[in-house]
Amino acid sequence: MCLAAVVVWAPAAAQTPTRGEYIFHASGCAACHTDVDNDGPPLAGGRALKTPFGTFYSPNITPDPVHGIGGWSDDEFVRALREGVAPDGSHYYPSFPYTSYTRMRREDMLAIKEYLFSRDPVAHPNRSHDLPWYLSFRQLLWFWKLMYFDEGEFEEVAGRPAAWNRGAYLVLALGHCAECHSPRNHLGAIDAGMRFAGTRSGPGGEAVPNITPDVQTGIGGWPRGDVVYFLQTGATPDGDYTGGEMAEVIDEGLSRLDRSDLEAMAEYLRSIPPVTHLIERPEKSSGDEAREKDPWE
Amino acid sequence: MNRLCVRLLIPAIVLTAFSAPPLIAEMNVDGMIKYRQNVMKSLAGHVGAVDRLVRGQVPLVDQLEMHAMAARDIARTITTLFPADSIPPEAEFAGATVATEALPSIAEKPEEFEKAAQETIDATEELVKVVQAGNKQELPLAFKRVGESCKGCHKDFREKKE
Repeated sequence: MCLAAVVVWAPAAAQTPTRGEYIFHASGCAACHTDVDNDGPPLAGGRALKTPFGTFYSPNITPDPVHGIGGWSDDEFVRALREGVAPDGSHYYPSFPYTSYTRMRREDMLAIKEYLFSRDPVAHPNRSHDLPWYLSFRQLLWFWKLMYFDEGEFEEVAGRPAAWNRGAYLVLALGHCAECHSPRNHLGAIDAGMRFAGTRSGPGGEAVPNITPDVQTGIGGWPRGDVVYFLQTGATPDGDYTGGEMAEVIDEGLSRLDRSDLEAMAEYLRSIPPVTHLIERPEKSSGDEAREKDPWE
Repeated sequence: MNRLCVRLLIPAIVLTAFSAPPLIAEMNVDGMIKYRQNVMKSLAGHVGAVDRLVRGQVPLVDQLEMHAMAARDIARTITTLFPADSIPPEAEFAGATVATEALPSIAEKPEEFEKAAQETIDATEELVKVVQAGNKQELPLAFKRVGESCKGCHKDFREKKE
C-alpha cells in the first residue's frame, strides 16, 4: 500500500451560490428558522429556543404574505435586523440576534432578503413565545435596548489587514458567534467583558465553549489551520467531532463558505483578547464549585 | 482412593468458583460510563490520526491502515457501549456518580441510534477498503463520510461537547 498525502475537504456547495445565498449561510439563518426536531418545513420557523427566561419560537421567514415576511418592504427588513423592530413597531426580544445583525451592511441585508424571497412560501403560522407574564410586555424592551443595545453598522478598523476586517465582520455581524459563545447577565445581555469566553448555559442549556485564544481554556492551543478546519468540518484537533447546535451551524452555514473567509474568521478569533474561563462540564462531585463562576446561573 | 479424590476435588472446585474473578461481571455504572468515554476517546484518536495523514500533515502513511482498522474495530462496538442503565436518566437511578454526555435520546430512539452507529461502522469499513486498495482518489471522500457520521451521531445523541 502506498498512499501519498491527499487533499482536504472541498466546500459543501456544489454550485456557486448567489450572493444572497452565501450571506444567508454565513448568517446562520437556517439553523434557527427551521424546526428540524419536528421535521418542519425549511425557514417556516417554530424552532424552540429554551432559555432561562422561557421558550422562544423562531418565526416564519418564508415569503408567505400572511405568516411569513412576504409583505415586508426593504426598509422594514433592514429595520428588523438593524434596530430589532418589527414592521408593526414592536420590539423584538434579543433571542433574535439583531444585537449582532445590526452591524451587517445594508446591501448584505437586502441580499439575504432577495434570497429569502426566492424561496417557496410556506403558510405555517407563527407560534407565540412561552414566557412568564411579566416578560410579555414588549415595550419594556425599549429600556433593555437603551441599556444594552449598541446599534450601528460594522466599521472597518484602520491599520488592520483586510483579512482581519473581513473576519471581524463575519464573526461579529454575520456569524453572530458571540450570541452563543458568551455568558449573559440576569437581564439576558451579553457580559461584555466575557464576550466569546463561553458559557455553561447556552441555548438549550448546552455548554458552549470558550473561543478566545486563551491557551488553557480557549482555542489558543489550536493551530490556526485547525481552527479553519474545524469551521469547515466540525473536527477538533484531537479527532473529535462537534455535535449539538454547532454541528448544524457548520453543516448549514460555515461549511459552505469560501476557505478565504474561514481563514479570515480564524485570524480575527485568534486576535481577540484571551479570557481564562473554563467551560468544563463539571463532574457531579464538583459541580457546585464550577457553576459559581457563571453569572448566567 | 477414587472416593478420596472426589472428596478433595469437590471442595476445590467450589472454592475456585467462589474465589476466582467472575467471568461475566455485573455492570458498574460509573465504570461503564468511564469505559465508554475511554473507548470513544480512542476512536477519536484513531480518526484524528487518519485525518492528519489524509491531510498530508504527517508523512507516516504506512500507519494509515493501522489507524483505519482500529477505528473500524472500535466503531463496531459502539452500540454495546450504551446500555440503558448508563444513560440519563436511568444512570442516575442506577447510582451513577460521574457525568455523562450521552443523551436520553439514545434510549428513546434506539432504532435511530443504531442506524447512526451503523453509518459509522459502514463508513469506517469503507475507509479500510479504500486504504487497503491504495485508492488515493477515493480516500478524501471515504474519510469525509467517517467524519460526517461522527458529527451526525453527536448532533442527536451527545450533549454538546464543552
